[in-house]
Amino acid sequence: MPSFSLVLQIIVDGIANGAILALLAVGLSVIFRLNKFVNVAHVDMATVGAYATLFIFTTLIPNFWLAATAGVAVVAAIGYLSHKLVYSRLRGERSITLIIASIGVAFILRYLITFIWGSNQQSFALPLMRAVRFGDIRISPYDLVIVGISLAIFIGLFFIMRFTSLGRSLRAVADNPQLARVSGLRTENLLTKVWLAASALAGIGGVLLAVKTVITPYLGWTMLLPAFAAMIFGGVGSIGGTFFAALIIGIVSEFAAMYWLPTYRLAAIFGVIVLVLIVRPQGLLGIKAVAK
Amino acid sequence: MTSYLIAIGIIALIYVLLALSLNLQWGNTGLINFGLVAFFAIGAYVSGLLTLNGWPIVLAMAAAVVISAIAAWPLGKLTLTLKEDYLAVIAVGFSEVVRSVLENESWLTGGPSGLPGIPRLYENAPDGMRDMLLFMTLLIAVIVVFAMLERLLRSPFGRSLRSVRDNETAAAALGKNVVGFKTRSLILGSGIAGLAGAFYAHYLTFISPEQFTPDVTFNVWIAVIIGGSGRNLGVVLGTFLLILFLEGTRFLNDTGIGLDGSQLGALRFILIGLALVLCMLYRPAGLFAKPEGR
Amino acid sequence: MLQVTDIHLSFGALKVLRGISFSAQANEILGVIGPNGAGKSSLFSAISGFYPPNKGEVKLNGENLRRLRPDQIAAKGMVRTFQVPREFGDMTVLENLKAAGSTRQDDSILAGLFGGARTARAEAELTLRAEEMLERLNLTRVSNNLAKALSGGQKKLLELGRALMVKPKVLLVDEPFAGVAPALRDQLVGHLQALREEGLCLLVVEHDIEAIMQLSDRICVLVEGSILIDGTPEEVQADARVLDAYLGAIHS
Repeated sequence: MPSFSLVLQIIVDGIANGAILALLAVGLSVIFRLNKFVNVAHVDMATVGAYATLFIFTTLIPNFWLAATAGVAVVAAIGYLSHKLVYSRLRGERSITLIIASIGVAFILRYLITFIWGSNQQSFALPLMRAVRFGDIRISPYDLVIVGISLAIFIGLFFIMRFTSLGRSLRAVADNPQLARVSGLRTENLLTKVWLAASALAGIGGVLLAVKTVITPYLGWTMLLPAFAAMIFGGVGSIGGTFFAALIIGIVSEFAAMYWLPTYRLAAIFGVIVLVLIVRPQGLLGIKAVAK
Repeated sequence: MTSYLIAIGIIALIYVLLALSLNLQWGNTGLINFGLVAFFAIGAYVSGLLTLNGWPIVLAMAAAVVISAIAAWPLGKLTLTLKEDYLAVIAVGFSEVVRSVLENESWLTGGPSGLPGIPRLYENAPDGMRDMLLFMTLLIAVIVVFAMLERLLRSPFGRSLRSVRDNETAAAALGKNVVGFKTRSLILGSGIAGLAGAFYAHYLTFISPEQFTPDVTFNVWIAVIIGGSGRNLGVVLGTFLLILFLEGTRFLNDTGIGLDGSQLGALRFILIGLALVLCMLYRPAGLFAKPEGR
Repeated sequence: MLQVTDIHLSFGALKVLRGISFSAQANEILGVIGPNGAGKSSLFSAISGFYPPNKGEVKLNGENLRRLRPDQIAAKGMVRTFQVPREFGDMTVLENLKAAGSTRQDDSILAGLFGGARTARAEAELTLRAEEMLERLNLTRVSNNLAKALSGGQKKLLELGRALMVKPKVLLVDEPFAGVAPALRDQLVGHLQALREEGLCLLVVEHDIEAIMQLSDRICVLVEGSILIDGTPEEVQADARVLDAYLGAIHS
């Protein structure tokens, strides 16, 4: 019988991972809601964020926060470019066309990174910090910051979506694109903002992930299935739902690693997806996954 | 030189089988099977394991085909009622889960170190002849599969498959059991992928989980897309183009362009990614699709 | 032939059909009209299996269609068309018709691989039937064109032709005259009337009141999910409530 504090520790570790996953998943979810396709390259934006920050941090700006900000800006720009050059030109096509295009973009990004930096592990070489103790639970200060940042971002997103005109416009476009366009909402402008924001969030997720683990070209790709799971579990397009779903998936993943096998994390997440689709196809708070 | 060509020929034919399988599932039924490599892997491992346990190769390969086909059923059950995008991502997840099972259950599969010493076809033939015989056998198999698929695709079954591909709601309104057709397509295609896997195992004599990553799936997808989905012949040509490209870039290594092996590999994928994007932007029907269709 | 009893359909909290009951016979054209949002298309989806009703029964020649999939219902003899044509775009017009006309048996993998002479014969008959359909609908000219390249009117004709290839007993025609030029409209009216003479039971949902009055033997007026009136065109035209319903719908 596992001790209570062990369970708690696992939950805490899971939350830290989940908080990062949430940042990746929410962008995926919003892009799916607005553009009607799963952007496979989205998670690779996180990888780009990590490497861009690494490059800037080690060669241009020794201050980590500034370097990270610059790195995230790079990701946002690349996300915008992929939208402008590729996806916006394919608007209205079947989603398979967009998915394949996004696979192409993912390959280009991932292997450009491999070409330049190789596939060896890298890291930010940030100072080691001692874990803070809360009773029997140990939490790394990095994890605290990570969760804090993620939480702050999500609260911000929630407020924007609920209480600002930008949020209302976004919801209008998501629900009924033609009507939105006709009623004068500048959809193109809106979409641009969404792509910039979503990519930036993925970039932030990538940087945070790189802080916790090593940096490889596959950093983001390994998060595709978990991010997808969070998206459907939380309900497509639901910000709050995605956040909590990501936390839960992070926790489930930790339990799987502890009590099953670390290499079966993925299988556990896959299992979650299967369960969700069978039991509650609309996720925690969103739209149905079942085709009519 | 001949032995090099035969080696490439064998790999090419194996990929052709995979491409034919995907052409059935995607080109003619519209299924976004991003998990193709799972059935390739299952075919390879089943045949490999059975022969390592004393089964005759022919029986083992037959078993590989059957089991790969059956393995498609749970994937189908899970995904065939879902939206396209979901099917796509879950299929990838499925193939990765299969791979992690292959990695973890070492008692069965040899784990990450794989399965060495798989018996070859034509074990008793003299060294020079062995690969040639394998190539001929494989060629015959490919021709048989090709002929069978052509016949099937020109039959009412094939026509109904394409009706499901083009508009499944209308197909249902006209009496077609959409899920039934999709399932059969998935199962048949997976069986063919399993056959490819079996040949692969008995050619390389060593298989391990890292040979069965989604990269394989996407290589086949590229061959099918570039070849023009729906037409078997186009898909075969697309496969040869792909192999030409993959092998051709390998030569670059030898000319001492100054890139090391992994960089070359990365460059290859960058070009493939570029090709995918450009293909989607400018010629979604593929390079070999006739403007008026088949 | 077709007996619909007390059909209720809701999408979440939205009640779309509230207790619809009617019946229709062979050799009859039943028109279904009503203001926008009254539930006309939903009615078709409900009785043909696409959106199974929450309550109520649909019987075709006495057989209960409950829990049957749309393709099973089509096999039983009730076929629907779609308001916006859903042609099999990457197949030729002829292939569209042949695809619709092949039976479950014809479609099997075994028949496809090993059918031999029997399959060949069935195919030949099918081709003949399809070509006759093309003749009838004046589409022979485009028989080898890809369906996605057809004009809107041609697609509507193809939509009808495909449904007929299934040899239906009951045909649900969804807004056949929507966006159709007058010449084609008359053609379609002619086709539908001919089908009625041949023994089909036709349900036609339409906005074009004039065409429906001209075409139908009986008319159901659907308002906000319920049947306001079910009678002959004369009765419906004479009923003041119908005008109210349309005006009311405009105002709301």
